[in-house]
Amino acid sequence: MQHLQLTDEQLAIRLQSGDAEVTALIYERFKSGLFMFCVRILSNKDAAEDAVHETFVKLIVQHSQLSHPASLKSWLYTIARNEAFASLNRTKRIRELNDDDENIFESDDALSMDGTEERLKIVETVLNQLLPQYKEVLLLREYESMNYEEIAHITGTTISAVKSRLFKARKAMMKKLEPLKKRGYDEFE
Amino acid sequence: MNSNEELLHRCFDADLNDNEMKKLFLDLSKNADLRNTFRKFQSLQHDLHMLSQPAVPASLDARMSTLRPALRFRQMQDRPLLRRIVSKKISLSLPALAAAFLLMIMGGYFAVTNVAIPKPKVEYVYVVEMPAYIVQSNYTSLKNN
Repeated sequence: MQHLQLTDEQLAIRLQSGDAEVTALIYERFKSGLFMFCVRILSNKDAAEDAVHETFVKLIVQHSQLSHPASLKSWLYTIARNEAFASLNRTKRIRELNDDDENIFESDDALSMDGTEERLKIVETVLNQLLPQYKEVLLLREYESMNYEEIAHITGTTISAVKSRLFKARKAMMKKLEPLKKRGYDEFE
Repeated sequence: MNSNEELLHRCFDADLNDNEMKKLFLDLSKNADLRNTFRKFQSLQHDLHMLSQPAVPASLDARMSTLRPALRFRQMQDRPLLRRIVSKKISLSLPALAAAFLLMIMGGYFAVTNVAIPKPKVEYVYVVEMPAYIVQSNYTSLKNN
């Protein structure tokens, strides 16, 4: 139980000082978040499993390259993100982003308004339709509670680009979900 | 994005200071459109957090349990063949290496001392066969002189 109290920084320092057993602790701490992040980016569980696997291979082999032990989490997400995007590039070409581009979805498929569809399924569908560059910032913010700086570091962009993408992603999702209003989407209203 | 929308957006990212928070609060009380947008943001965020999170498959856990031995093997494979052989030989035959070193020192010592020992002198006898008439003529001239 004592190792549960270790901070990310302490785990990284122990790993770098040659304590290989700490890899299992790091895996247990980050596996769910990393797997969820990769699944959402890739929309494929097998590919996500491979990406997470490679992330931990790199953790074990290249942990000496982690210059700031305190940023272990960012470092892992950066690797996972790069692995996921590399996997995406192998299966399909990722569209280059244009800041003026209003369409930030991969597909323009109409949402099913079938009454049997659950609202959350539709929200998930809309989330999955986002371009990966928008999806990743939203996931890191909403599920990992990372700040702009951390997200910018992981995605290799600027803070202003992160802010802009977050805003556009939310706005576009809300716009796309607007037709569901009458089906009870806006339950807070 | 306008300043109100930006504040709203940053509010959801926990990026507002106290003054900005107060300003947003006042703007929300005055601006119905902003309130509407705020509710939509809130609703979307709520739904995003309600989405079921994919569970980590058991196969990934199984892979991780075999990862470390597999990596050790891979690291061995990645190392150049010569270095692998040398490191293996050295690790296995350190006593043999020490013995070889001792032999080398002894060999060097004998090589040096062998050079220092004077070699025995050998007197060579040259045998030259001369024709009999030369020997005879020389003998005759010596006798006459």
